[in-house]
Amino acid sequence: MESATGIYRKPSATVLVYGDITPGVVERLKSLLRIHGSRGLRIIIAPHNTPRVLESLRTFLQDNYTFTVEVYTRSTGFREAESPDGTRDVVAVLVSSSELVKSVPSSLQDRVVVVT
Amino acid sequence: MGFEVVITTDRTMMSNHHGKEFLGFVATGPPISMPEKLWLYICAPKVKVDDQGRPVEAPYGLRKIEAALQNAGFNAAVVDPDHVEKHLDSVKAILIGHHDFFAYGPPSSEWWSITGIEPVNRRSFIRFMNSPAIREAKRRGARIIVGGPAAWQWLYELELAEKWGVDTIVDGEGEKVVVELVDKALRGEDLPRYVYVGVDNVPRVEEIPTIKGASVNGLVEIMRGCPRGCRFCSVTLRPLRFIPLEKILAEVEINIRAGTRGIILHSEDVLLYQADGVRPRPDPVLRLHEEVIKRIGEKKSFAWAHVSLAALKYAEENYKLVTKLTREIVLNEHRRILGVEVGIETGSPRLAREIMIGKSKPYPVEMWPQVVEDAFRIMHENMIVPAATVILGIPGETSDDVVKTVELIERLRPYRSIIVPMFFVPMGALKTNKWFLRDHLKPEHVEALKVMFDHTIYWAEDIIKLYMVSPIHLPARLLLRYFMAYVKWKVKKIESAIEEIVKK
Repeated sequence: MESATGIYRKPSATVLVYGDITPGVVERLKSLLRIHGSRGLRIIIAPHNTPRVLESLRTFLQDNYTFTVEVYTRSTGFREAESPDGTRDVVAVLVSSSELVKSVPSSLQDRVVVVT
Repeated sequence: MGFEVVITTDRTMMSNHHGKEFLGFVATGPPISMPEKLWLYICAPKVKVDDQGRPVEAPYGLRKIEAALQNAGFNAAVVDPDHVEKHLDSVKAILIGHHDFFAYGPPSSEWWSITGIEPVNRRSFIRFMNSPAIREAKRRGARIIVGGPAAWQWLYELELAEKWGVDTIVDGEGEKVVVELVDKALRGEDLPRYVYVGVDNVPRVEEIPTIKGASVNGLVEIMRGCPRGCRFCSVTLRPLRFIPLEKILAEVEINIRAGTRGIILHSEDVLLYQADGVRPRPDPVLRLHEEVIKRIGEKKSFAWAHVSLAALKYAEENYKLVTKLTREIVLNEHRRILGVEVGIETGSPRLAREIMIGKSKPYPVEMWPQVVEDAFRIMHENMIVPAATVILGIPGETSDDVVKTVELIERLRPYRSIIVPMFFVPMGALKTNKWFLRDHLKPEHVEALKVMFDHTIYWAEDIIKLYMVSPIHLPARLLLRYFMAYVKWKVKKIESAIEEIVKK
């Protein structure tokens, strides 16, 4: 929606996180933010549908005061239809355990990184 | 018909504090020596509202969000916390802003740490979130979006966020992102749990909307951001923008029409309005004051939100600007003082170099204590009454740094002012550090607390006389006097106990 106040520039890089937010996942998110932050970063975490998941991300979020970051949570996995570009804007899929790799949609398997 | 989008906050924020902004800070303390209701009467009396519960005066940040949403075509308004229930049939999104949701900011966290008693602002906010109107709105499916300068505090209260059904936490300048979020909320789409508004999404100066209703005590923003780069401050992380004079005057007129008792110019450094870097330029500052005073007339109150001590010294020594502003434009028999907040933070040039190297500019950081002293003298001579802050427990602080601060405060004794100690709170570029708490106090910190307390008590009576002159302030004035007497007695009583804690 357009407004006299100006249009919000939505993040155009997406990272999917499957499983727990481990220190390794946080480190990887820091790198991804450095690389893609200027486009704005959308982080989608599954399967965690509670604000408490933000606790593991607190330091990561507090360290950033430059880039637009949005964090979503999902009780189920990522739906391709929810992104305007389908899966094209997904820059990485971080998975905290190899057992969760099969939960990732097939179109995103080439971007999976298992981070323990 | 009710509003689809209700913008609100708790009572400690939704108040004009008897027309005295500084009284609002009383809400940061715990209710000691008197019942909480009386405490709230001093700091947060209810505001006038219309038949839809819209307050005559509302916090400036909420007014900006309201303006952004109304400009975008939403049925949105700021609503007093006692009147949210009037909109239960229509509300789909509740937007809640605050300066200090959970009392983790300065100085709330400090009073809490020292006394061990929960501050009034936190109690009030929790009561508000548990209120039947908010609970019922949530039960009916309203989305709750929280934001404002204290948004970071929610990252430490995620269980409460879950319990209360907070959908989104927004950290950063909200005027653009709020339009997107409310649009999603009203369409029933997924909302992000958290948004940080990066530099690419802060509004340009022409995108900052003009408020539609009066702000608390006529507060009007004249610039946003700060060029000094102090590491403990979050404002300095924002790009610097000067609000054009015509926009400032439009907001002044909105306030005057609504009947506010005066105007507060809001900026981190009022004298840097349209400045050349950190060097004030007299012409735009004089013009701004002339035009504002022309509109408010002789009797309405006038204050600055913040000014930097270095800009003040520079402006006076190079242009006699402070004298011109106070004696020729602002002060008269009705306006006998000009109130402002200033930051001393430390008396140690070494520590100043570490955490706020830009604060003394254009003077070298080694001159910081002298800058402070000179600025206090200039303010005293020109009837400017500062409420100054000093930060204790800054990361990297040494005993010698605290001693230098104590010595500086002692040299400020001849100058009319309030000096408030603040325990370090991790904000700005230092936000991943740890809070400074009572258990971290060392003997020199206790000495610093005593020196600041003595200074403030020494000047308080004189300042209250100048600050609260109207007969309508008599009850609040009496309560404040009673409170001061109580605090003096209490501090004397617990002095040795605090020293014992420190020894341990």
